[in-house]
Amino acid sequence: MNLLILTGLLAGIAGCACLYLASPNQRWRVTALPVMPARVAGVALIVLAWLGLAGAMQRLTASFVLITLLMLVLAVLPYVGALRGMGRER
Amino acid sequence: MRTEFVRIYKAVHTWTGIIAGMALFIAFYAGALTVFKEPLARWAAPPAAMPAVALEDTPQLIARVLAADPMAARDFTIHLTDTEQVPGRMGWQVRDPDADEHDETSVRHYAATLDADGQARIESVHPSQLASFIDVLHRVVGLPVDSDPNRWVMGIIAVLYALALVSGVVVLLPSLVKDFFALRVGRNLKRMWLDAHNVVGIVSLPFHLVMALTAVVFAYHDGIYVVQDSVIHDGKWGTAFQRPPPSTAAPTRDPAAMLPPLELVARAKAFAPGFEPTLLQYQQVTGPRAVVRVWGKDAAAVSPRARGGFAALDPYSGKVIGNDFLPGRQSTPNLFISSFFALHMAAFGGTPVQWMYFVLGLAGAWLFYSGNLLWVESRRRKQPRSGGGVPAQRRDVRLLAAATVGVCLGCVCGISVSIVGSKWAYGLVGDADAWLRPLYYSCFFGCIAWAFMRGAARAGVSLLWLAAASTLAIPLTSCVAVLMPGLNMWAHTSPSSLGVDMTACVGALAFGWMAKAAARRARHGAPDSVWSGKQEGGLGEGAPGAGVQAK
Repeated sequence: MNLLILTGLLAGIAGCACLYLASPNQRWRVTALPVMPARVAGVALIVLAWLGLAGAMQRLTASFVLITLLMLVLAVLPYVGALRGMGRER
Repeated sequence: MRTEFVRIYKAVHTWTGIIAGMALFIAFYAGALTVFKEPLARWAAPPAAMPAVALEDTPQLIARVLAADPMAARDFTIHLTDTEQVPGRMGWQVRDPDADEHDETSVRHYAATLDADGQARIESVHPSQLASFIDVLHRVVGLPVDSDPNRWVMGIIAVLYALALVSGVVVLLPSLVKDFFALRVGRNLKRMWLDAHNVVGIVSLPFHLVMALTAVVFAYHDGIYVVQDSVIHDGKWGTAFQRPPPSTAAPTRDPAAMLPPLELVARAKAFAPGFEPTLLQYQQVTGPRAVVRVWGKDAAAVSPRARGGFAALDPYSGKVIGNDFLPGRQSTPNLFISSFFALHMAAFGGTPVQWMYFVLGLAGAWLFYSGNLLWVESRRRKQPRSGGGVPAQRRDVRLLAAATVGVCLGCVCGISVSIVGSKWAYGLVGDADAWLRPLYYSCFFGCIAWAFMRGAARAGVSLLWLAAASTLAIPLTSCVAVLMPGLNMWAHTSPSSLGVDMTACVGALAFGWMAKAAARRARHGAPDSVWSGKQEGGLGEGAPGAGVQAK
């Protein structure tokens, strides 16, 4: 896989994780990350992800890929967080 | 927002979801698999019986085949790859003129090669229809044939789906910010299923909106075109985009004078450097309007079709005569239309996006399944805290719980059994494709009957085990093919084919895990639920069902 695409995908996942972990509804950690710094980092990582993807593919394609990635990761993270939370409570 | 408005939208969301949910589960589960249609076709394809012709020798192949069968000149294909599902370097199809344009079962396939003497050898071939069959299940929500009436049914389901999406968002709006990302697992099962449903629905809303809108257009595009033609184009649309006819009676052209395929590929790649050609589709090569479509993919661009896009070239001069369907080189209006196709079919971004769509498709199936679970849980009759007997659950709740388990797991089991059967039937009875529908529908309806007989809780456990077993049978079939070559089966070792086996392994483990969880719930969960196995099975009066009860 193209290194730029890989970087873009990883940055996108990390950005989503920051946004999720900053939410008061997150269950991954005992306490949520500080809201503003985590949100800023999340948005910055997502912008970085788009830049990486756009470096390897057309901008419209990069946008579609990023949106698809965001939908997937942001839908999966609450489930992962809930599973971790359940494991912690056992 | 006024409470009564929310209540109305909630009713719309509930009933559109209940009516369309199970059909949409089938569409999404089959659709997730259809993302990997090519690997499935490769897994199911019997070893090629024809010797491959080197690409360098393709001009002789074309010339000799067209001399032997001039009708093939109307539309034939040269495959540039030697993947498992390609029966020969050159192939073409003959369609039944009375059949529906989407009906793949009416198509006769031919392939050609050169024998040892350099003469054309033409054979009727029967490529596996497995991947197409699963695609049909996806396209017409589990109905057996992709025909106009079935697509209209799918269109109605898609309209209900769109309504459910919009109404669901309206219902969620008052608590959207507060509950975003919330997935509260605990004693309040209704809350848990609501969160589990909402988190997927709201985050992947753009994906679902695109799916719903494109599905409506796919269902009714013929009617839409007719209206467009009469209202906008005064009935002249059919002729508006045709090239002008040749001025004089053109002589028949000699296909031997065409540029070699490798030269045409080089011309296409020079025109679009990121484009990776996979096949050449020649049309009317002996006529004045000869054209070759160089089909291929470009992961960096948006493709207009699931199998990519094409550059249209003159096969005699190599001149590019059309790029309306060429990924990365489309005009803005064409790209706009292509984006909808691409967003529906994961035709952009290459393999990573295919995997994302696979998971989003499964998540979509879960969205509809969890919607039904929520409906059931919301109508649960609870045992009074003061004691007393376990209340009987409502009959409609028991029926919907059984139907949800039967239809959804019946689809899962039916598809797995069809995949397995496509190889076993080929080895044992020859015409494997004739067995796909009987295998799928007997399994599908058998699971539904079982769910209604046993009730959702008990049937849920056994059907999940059946789903695990039938899915595990996919890689086991490949193992058996290697260990027992006398069975006339095969196991390909390409990454695509092995990927099918490995994905099936993971799927089987997931179904096994769910079966164990469902069994635990049926045994130890609260008895005042359709998902408790402590109560009588079946759907007789007063008998509770079966199912999914969190401990």
